Amino acid sequence: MKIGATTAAGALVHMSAFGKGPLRSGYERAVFDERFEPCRVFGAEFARAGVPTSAIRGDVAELWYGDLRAALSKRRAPIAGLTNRTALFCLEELARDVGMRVVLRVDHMIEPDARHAVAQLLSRFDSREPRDVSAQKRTGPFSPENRTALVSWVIA
Amino acid sequence: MVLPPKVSEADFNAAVNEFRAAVGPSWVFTSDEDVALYRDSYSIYCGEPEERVASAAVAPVKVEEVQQVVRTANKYRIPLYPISTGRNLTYGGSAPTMRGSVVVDLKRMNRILEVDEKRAFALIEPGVSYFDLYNYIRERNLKLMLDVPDPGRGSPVGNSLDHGVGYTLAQYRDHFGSHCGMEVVTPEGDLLRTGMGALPNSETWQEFRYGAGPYIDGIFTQSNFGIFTKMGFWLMPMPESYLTGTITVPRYQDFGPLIEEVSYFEDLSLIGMPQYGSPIEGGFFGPPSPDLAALMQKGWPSMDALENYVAAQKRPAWSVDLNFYGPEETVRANWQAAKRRFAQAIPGAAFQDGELLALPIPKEKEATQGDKPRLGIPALEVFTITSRNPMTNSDPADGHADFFA
Repeated sequence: MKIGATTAAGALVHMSAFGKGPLRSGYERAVFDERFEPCRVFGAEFARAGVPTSAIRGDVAELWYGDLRAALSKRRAPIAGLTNRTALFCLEELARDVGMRVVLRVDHMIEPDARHAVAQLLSRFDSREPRDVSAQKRTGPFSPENRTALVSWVIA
Repeated sequence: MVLPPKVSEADFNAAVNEFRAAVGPSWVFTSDEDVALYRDSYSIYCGEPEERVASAAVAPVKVEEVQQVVRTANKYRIPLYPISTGRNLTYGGSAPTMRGSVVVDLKRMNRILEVDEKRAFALIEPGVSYFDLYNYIRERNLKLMLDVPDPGRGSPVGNSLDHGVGYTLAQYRDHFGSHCGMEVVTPEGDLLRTGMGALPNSETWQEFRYGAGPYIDGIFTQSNFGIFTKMGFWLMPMPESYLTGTITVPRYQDFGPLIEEVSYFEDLSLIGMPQYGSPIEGGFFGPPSPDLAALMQKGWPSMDALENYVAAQKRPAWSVDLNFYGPEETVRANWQAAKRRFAQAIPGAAFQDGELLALPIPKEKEATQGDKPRLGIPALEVFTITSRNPMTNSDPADGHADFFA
């Protein structure tokens, strides 16, 4: 699988442009959409790093109102995800209740072959990397040109 | 930093300090990144100089704090923009309508004060979402059904004040129409209760909405004449069952009679929100038919041309899904009555029985249940429409397509 990506500003970049770095723990949760292979790989990588993961199937309602909101209300720690844009849009709006915001947003073009690319993507989740506050509220849930199906993100 | 119009920086800072004294310093937000949380990413002005952004936000937790915030705002002439959850998409969001306003975020006022199962009402604070109220009812196994909008992340208070609607029977899906009793902080900082709530020690605040004298509740809808701190709602007793049925009609011109018959059942409160469709084009979101595009190329075609096109497709011109709520005996009888009346009114009308569901839907089946809002189950799935594409195409197949200005 090959994944291209757009930055928060919308410009297309290739995954190879991402620097390499260690996957860090320190996330409260990693959220992935189990319907899509890249997301499953993403979730598995975080699970391997000891981060609790939550699988969704598009709708984040059960996740947020089930336990995530309560967990973040007690301990505001970053959450990471690889989902469709709708899920991020909803989580970004809901996260306002606990004072959290999107600090990383990368849109992905999906093409065949992906495990390698997802591994590269994970380097963006080094918790030491500076976060971009301007990533919040940059877009709605729409997929630009109907091509960018998935988005990786951090809410902190 | 954005300042409210015609307010000096010194006055603004003085007001912020008084807000902090009223609600506590950690519940007044002035940093750019905190205030940005209230931006409207749908706004056509998003990212533009004209974008309507807040100068600050303040989150009170009780009525007295709201009153103090209002009094301070009056003192310094600070415009306030209250939000319940700020998520009643297409009605009202979290971004103010006047640049520089201070957002009064009522998310911390999220108590469900009373839910009466026998008398079928709820009294809630503005920060309560449909999800919160739904979970409260389900956890206690109360035999009550909510009427929820798409989506359910918003607040019943905000949704009703913006004239939001849902899916069940008409008297419940008009969310303002089903409210009963308000508590409002006025622009002077006074506290007003409407209906029977205006009378001391009244025990019928959520049962008789008019009280004595003029009925003023309407002036608080789609307006900014007060900040809500409590609101009551009538809830539907949990029906025993839910039945759907689909009616299709063969001709283009059958649409008028179809609507008239549906309205008959609607006006008798025998059905929930009907859902119309046009099977002629192969269902929702199918690719446009080249034949239809060709038919439309020279402007709107004649009725004969339209009817000929419809007949050639060998599919019904229109469909409508009806939803019935009540005991099994009555929902089946009402569906039979619908079949009789539609068959009499529209030659060629056809009928397809839907599934009969026992209510409430078991908790373990909720996640996979389609049509959640029609069953009073809040959801966020409606947003799926906005990310549909060849990669993520998924259920549900309908949703909102909105235009914002």
